[in-house]
Amino acid sequence: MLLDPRVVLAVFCAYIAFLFFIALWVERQAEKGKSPANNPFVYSLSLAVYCTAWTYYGSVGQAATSGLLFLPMYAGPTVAVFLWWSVLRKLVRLKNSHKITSIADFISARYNKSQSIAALVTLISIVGITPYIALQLKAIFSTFAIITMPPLGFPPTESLVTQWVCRHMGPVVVVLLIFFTIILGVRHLDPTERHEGMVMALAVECVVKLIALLAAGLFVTYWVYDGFGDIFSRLSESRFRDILTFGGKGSSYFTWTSYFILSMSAVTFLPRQFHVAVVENHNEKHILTAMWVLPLYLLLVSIFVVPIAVGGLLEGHPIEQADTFVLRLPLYHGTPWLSLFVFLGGFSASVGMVMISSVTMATMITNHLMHPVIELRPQLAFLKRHLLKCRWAGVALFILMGYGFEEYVGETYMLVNIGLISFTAILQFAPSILGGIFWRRGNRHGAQWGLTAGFLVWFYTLLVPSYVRSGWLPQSILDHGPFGLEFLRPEHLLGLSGVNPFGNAVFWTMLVNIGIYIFGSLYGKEDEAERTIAEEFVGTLDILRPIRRARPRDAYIELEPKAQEIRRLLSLYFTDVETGIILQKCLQDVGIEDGKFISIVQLLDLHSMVEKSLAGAIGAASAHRVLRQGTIFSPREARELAEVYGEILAQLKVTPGELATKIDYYQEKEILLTQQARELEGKVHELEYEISMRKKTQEALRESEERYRRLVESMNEGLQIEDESGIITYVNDKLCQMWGMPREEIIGRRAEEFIYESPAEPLKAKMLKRREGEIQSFEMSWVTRERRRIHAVVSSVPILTPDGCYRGSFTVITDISHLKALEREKANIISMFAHDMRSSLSGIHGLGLRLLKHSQAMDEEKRVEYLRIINREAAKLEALVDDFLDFSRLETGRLKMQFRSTSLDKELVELFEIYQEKAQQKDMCIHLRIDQALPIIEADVNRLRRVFTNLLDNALKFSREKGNITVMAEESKHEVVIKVIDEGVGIEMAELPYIFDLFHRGPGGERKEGYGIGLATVKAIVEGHGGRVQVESKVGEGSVFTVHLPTKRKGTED
Amino acid sequence: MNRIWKILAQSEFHTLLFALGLIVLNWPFLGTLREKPPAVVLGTILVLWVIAITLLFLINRGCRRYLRNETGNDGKGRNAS
Repeated sequence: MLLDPRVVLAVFCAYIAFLFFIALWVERQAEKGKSPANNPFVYSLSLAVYCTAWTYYGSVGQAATSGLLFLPMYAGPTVAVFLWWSVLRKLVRLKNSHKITSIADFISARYNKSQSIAALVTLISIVGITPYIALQLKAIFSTFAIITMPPLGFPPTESLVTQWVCRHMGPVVVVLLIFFTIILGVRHLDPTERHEGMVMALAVECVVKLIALLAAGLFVTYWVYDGFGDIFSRLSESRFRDILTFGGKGSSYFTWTSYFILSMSAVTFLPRQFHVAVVENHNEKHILTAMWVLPLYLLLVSIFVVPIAVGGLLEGHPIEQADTFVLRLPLYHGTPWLSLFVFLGGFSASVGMVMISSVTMATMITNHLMHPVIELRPQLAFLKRHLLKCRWAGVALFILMGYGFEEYVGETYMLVNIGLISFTAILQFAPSILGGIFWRRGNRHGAQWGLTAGFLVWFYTLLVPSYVRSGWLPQSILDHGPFGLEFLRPEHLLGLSGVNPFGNAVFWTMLVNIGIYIFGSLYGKEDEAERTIAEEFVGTLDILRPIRRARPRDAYIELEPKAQEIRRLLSLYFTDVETGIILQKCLQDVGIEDGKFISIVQLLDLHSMVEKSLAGAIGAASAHRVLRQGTIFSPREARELAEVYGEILAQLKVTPGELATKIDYYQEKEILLTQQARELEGKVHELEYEISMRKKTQEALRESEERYRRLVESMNEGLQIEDESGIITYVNDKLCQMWGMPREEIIGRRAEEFIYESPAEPLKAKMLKRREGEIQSFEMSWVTRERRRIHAVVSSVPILTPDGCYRGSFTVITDISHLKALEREKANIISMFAHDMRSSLSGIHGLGLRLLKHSQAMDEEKRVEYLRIINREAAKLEALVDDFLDFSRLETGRLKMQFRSTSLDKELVELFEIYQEKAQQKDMCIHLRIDQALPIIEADVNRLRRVFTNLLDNALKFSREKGNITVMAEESKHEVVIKVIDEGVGIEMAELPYIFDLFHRGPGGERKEGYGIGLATVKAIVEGHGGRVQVESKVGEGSVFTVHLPTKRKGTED
Repeated sequence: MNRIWKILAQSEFHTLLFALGLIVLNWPFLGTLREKPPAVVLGTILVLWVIAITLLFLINRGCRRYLRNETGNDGKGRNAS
């Protein structure tokens, strides 16, 4: 089953258009700085352009005819890439530093930019690569014919168009190839000779050809046969069983090794490989990826070569058709679309190679052949303006040359042989390149002679036989040598036998090329410039490549006379002491203070140091003039100095004029930089000062903030800061206690949200007034979340910007709940007091009236009883009035004391006896513990007794039945400590701070007896004695009241 | 392990592997396969090839690691000018 040529041609064009659009897209992306071609895998795949139609079709032909000899073409590159990190990286780095655009450019650059070497390399490439182009064209034509033309015996197609296409296949394909190569690779000029679009197209082509080849291999291995095992078992039973035996017919070790060497060289030094691997490289690290991806690619490409070759032979196809087994087998098994895909894969392989090779060769032809001719012939100078068109012409010319070779010579060779001819030609570059980057002595003479000799031997051993086979030269040359000289037979030079023509060519070309390269390099002298280049090329991977200094000179100059002369010159401007110091410093700086003899270079350094030292005093120009007037350099030394400068100039590769310009430039630059550095230094000092000041300010601010924070946190008032929208941004601990909420719950909310049972509207009105800048102060009360009522005085100050905008408020909230409670207590007590007085007075008044009215009729006993009652009520009233006098004095602070020497032991014992009786009545027990005699103190006895009676009354009042009350007294340092300990109900923790307040009666006070004066009186009396009273208590366990009385009153101390 | 990566990054080690590759894929080593059946010959070469690719992959990793340590570069590499 065959395919219509028009369909094949349409697919052909569509595929090229597809590649063109990919290339276009990549170039657009690259212009945006996002080149998809700058990718290690694209780089690696583009290197697979190594696998051309020769590999695609020819390997199967090679396997069918020469067994395993196809393998070195894949295994060789795999071994060669082990050295890529050393070799290819060097090439890439040198390409970057020398802006190299082709392999000819590279070899020329290494050998002193020799135009003749560049031209020679270009010529060798043209001659060597042209057959390779022919090979690709031959593959396209022959495979096109296979899938479109019917075999002999079948009627030809009747379509005129089809017939025309088939007849003019060659020119049509060549024109299309030229056109597509130009639009893909040479649309414009790029100084770096990078073609990112074309590289991406190459990578895509490489993927297509790999998939096509694997598809064909899988088809043959698993569709036509039952896998590898089946193929090998059938092979072992067939007449072809010896074909794959290693070392068998046609696969001698010598030939194997020759192919190995050829492929190792080709994978790097074929112009297209060099272009893709070196010129198109974006990043050295891409080489590392390519080092394993390319061998993997080659393994995949070669894995089905043997099954396809053996499959074709076992099917009975003639061995002459082995090159096209990969295409024919799917076709003969009725899968034309697979054949078309395989054709497309082969076409990809060919087109990729033709494009990249012709672009590379066009660059080399225009740069290294055409340009030198233009320089020689001024009448051709107009071509300089048409370089792009010259490139197009170069592409066209090169492809047409390949077409011509294919037409006239190609028919006499199988594909594989054409490829090997090219490989052997390119092998000639290897000694010059490898010698150039690893051998410092390799020079232009050796490279030129070696290349020429190797090329001539190649021409004689490989190209002449191909011309003989084409009938251009007599057959006798191959059979008996030229002029009957047998030892000059091209394919068996000097009688070398047992090797195939390629082994013969590889051996002789390399022997001659390498031998002459080494001899020529040793014989011919390189100049200083070439030595410098060699140094750079060989040492390009060194981390630090030191610039070669001028060669060291002999230390023959006596130091002392020079020092005397310098001393004389310096003494014109400095004192003797200063002169000595300056000279000594200069000698130390140069490192010659202990030497007797110095070299010219050291003398120059010394001269320079002295000039700089002098310039510091009299200026640079004057210093220079002064030293010139001196006689530091003798005529001989001046001459030697000139030599030193000559060496430096030679190394720098600049003319003296250029050097002077550069020095002027750098001197100006140095002056500017120095000025700038000084200015910067000043600014740095300013900045440092500013920074230190800012740090100090920040530190002071931080300390101030810390101080205020502590102050605010320790305030007994609540503090709250709100922003302009009323959101609370800060509260202190006290306010958190007042709200009964943690800080996190308050921040970020409004105060109204957690005020319960408080009229919101007046509050809002007050808050609104703050916005107008008014300071608000008011009382308010609210119930917290814990149902506790809080009375507070709120003072809110608005925070305003300078222009009067409201930015929030600052609110201080004082908790007055306790004061409010005391006020209520006070009112209650006064009411109680009035009630008690009224009761007593009513009793006295009633009994008095009764005595007045009925005293006559009243018996004596009754009258006495009435009088007793009146007396008791009067005493009660007196006590009440006393209490209130004390209350009044306490409130006004007018409680007067009458101090005298008092024995506390005595007073306490008396009280103990009185209260022991009272305690017994209540079924309680009271104890007095005085371990040592207490000192006599100055005290108001009556008031002090009142202190202890109040405390003991309280203890009796709040103690449980059968409870214990203990009174302890001891002398401590400068004071007497008396403790009244009970086992009563205890006092709540919240009540403790208020227990000594006047009228405080604790929770539920209104239901309790007394007026809340007792403990307040205790505190006032004790403090009136210069002492203090404390309380400790636990609810349910009891309380301890501790009275501290000083042994000596203030003002009476000795 | 670091020492292995360091060795893998050394050009001298690459040269050693190159020499080994030349030896095992040429005479006289391949001479030992002379009388072997095609499947064995191809199998042997395939195994050697896979080993070579594995070593090359490890060299790639080793060199990247070495460069990263040497230059502090994150592996983006030295871009061409």
